[in-house]
Amino acid sequence: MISGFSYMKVKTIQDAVSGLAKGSARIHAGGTDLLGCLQDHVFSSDMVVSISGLKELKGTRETPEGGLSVGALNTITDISESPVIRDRYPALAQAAAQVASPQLRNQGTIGGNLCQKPRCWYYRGEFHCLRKGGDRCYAVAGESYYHCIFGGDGCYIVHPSDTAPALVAYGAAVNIIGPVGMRTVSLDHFYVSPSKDVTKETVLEPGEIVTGIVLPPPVKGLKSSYRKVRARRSWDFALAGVALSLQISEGKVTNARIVLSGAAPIPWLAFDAEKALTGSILDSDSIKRTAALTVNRALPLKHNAYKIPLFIGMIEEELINISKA
Amino acid sequence: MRLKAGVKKDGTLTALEFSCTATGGAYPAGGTSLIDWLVRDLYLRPNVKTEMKDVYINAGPARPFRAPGHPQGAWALEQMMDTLAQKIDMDPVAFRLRNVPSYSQGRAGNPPYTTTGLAECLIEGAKAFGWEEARTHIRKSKGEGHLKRGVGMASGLWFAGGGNPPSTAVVKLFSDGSVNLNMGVSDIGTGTKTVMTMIVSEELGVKPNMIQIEHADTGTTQYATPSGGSKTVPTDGPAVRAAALSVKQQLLSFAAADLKADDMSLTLSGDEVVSVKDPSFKVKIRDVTGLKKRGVIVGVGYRGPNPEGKVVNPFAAQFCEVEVNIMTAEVRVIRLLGCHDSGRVMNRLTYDNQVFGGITMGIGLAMTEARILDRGQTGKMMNRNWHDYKLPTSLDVPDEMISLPIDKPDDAANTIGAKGLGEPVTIPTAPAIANAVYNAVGIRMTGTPITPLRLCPALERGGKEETP
Repeated sequence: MISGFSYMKVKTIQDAVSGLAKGSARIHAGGTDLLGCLQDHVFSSDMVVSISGLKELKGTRETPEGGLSVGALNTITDISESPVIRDRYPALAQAAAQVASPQLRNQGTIGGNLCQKPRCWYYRGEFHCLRKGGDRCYAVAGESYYHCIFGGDGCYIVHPSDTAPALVAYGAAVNIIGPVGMRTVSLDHFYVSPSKDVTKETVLEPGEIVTGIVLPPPVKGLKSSYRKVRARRSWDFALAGVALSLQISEGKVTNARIVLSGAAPIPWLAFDAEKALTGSILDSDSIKRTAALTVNRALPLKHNAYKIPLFIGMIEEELINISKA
Repeated sequence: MRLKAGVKKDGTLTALEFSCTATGGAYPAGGTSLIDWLVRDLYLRPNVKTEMKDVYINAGPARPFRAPGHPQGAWALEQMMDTLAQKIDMDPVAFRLRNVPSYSQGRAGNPPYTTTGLAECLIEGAKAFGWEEARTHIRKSKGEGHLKRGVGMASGLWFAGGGNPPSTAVVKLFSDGSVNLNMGVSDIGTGTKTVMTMIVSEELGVKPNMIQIEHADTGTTQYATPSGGSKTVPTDGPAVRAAALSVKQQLLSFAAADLKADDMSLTLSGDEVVSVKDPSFKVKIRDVTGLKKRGVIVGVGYRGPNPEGKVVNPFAAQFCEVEVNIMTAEVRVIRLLGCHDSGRVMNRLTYDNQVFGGITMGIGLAMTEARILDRGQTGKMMNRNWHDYKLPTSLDVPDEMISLPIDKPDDAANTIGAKGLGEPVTIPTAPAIANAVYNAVGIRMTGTPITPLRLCPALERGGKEETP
């Protein structure tokens, strides 16, 4: 049962910012996560401010530098079907295509996908857990099949987004507007790990809105992909996922981004693996070594150690695919 | 569940010993239900011992939701049969065929089945699936590559599915030739109305679009038993046929008066009553004087008793092919064939839909579904929504899903020759998939669902068996 709230559909982004300043106002775009959160009492709201009618937050356009600016209100389907994104940022299109189900992809937005709340079943359930202001994380002694193997610190959620790791791999940034004006934050600094603040998932301050994403121009020799393993073939979050973005020059990897989903409370950068791969030729030795290094510091809970061989196998398979492409 | 078995090298099953523990939750309910039934009844076994224990736990009650206990029991028994066949180096189909009973060993006095199509299901199913060719092909193509194919099969029977009294139906034939069928039985999406319409249509020769149905209304229809146990068609079909037959007899005796003939010499053909000997000697239904005068003929039909000392059960065999990615432990069901003996096929479309639905449920047990409780903490159900409780989606079922009926009317069972379908379908699916996974990667899955959570650690250990 959702408790009552007022609904305001704004005509300008400034109205949205001022609307969000009041009480327990919450932002609405596609609404796919908002309704679930209200229904499950993850939070309550007395005012829902809908930005769904703001045309300036839709569409994509090239930036003067040759990158791509993507409005926050593009649906996930818009992202997965955009010819420009499929051509120049294939990992993002692949990630978008594997989000949820066709219905949810048609309704949910890319801005919402980046800002969605965690899917931990204790957090979503009737448990007053640490992230909701309680005194403990129930996953530690409880059912931890779908929880993190990295970056858990008091709270052991995984970040639920598929598109975020792909965007981190491309070095994308988000544009934010709020009561004190506009700012741009690199996506790898956008997410907040539990060690910094267990009650926050992003750096967004009250009243701030993500208006869009900026992707830098694709570098020469870039090979990228997103791979996701899930327990069900559609409408499911990642058991393990990886966004790969490798710059290859004369057979050598000159720059590597390996970003994991389903692994940590934030999109997880596999630094050791990236470092090991940089400067190497993509062959079976370097692939095996890289895959093993992605999980070398993993700290699994009671039920999720399966993720370690899963990440290794999945990343190996995906690196082999890239080396053959 | 624990299962121990004995087999001779010639494929004769000698003994089965089974025990299981189940959680009933905090209330007496259906924890174990009929988990041991297939062990006791499906194959010839001179010796058997089964033991079931329900345990009270501080959690919600356990209730069966489809073919109580059977899919679980099949999971153990059919994987054991697969293992035994391998140990004695016999084809799993041939091994099962060696042990097909004609009578029910689980019941006192070993009463015979009215019909058993188990052998036909095994033989015809294997033929249509290309079982032997597929096994040979997979044996030969093992080697390089990380996508491993495997085939597996399993069989089953359903404890119920014969139907039983009471059931009462009323059929009315109006003077314009149209019909009203009034029955208490419901249609929960299984096609009951379609099947019952066809029974009336066949008996009276009236086109289905001339038959109106009113049903499942406690104010205007007769007492009926619930739709459950896959027994609706064999329970209510015979009552509907009897009601239609009563209408037919009354109509023929009215027509006999018009034609000045013996009603035994007349028959219904289309919208006419005709003489069996001389088809030119006839009268249109709407011109039959007795019907015109009264405006309606009312027939009441009752479900008669089941044959004494016999058992009416449906049988099944299913065959499947899977592909296992040994790097990620992802399993894809490539194709699945369900070969079923449910007596006479009443309507092919609704029949096939029961098979596809049952197989989809079986895939749910094998691949995606589980009830997860917060063990050792609160006992609450963790996956109580449709996202976390994972029903299979259309991408989780194979493109190639085939229904192959053994259309074998069971005349001893009831007056329409049909046995139940629905629950029997969901019984062999999960073990057929598990056997295919074993065939592909040599890992024996003991728990469901088969996801990377279970399979990944087993593959990593290069293991033969999942550790529970």
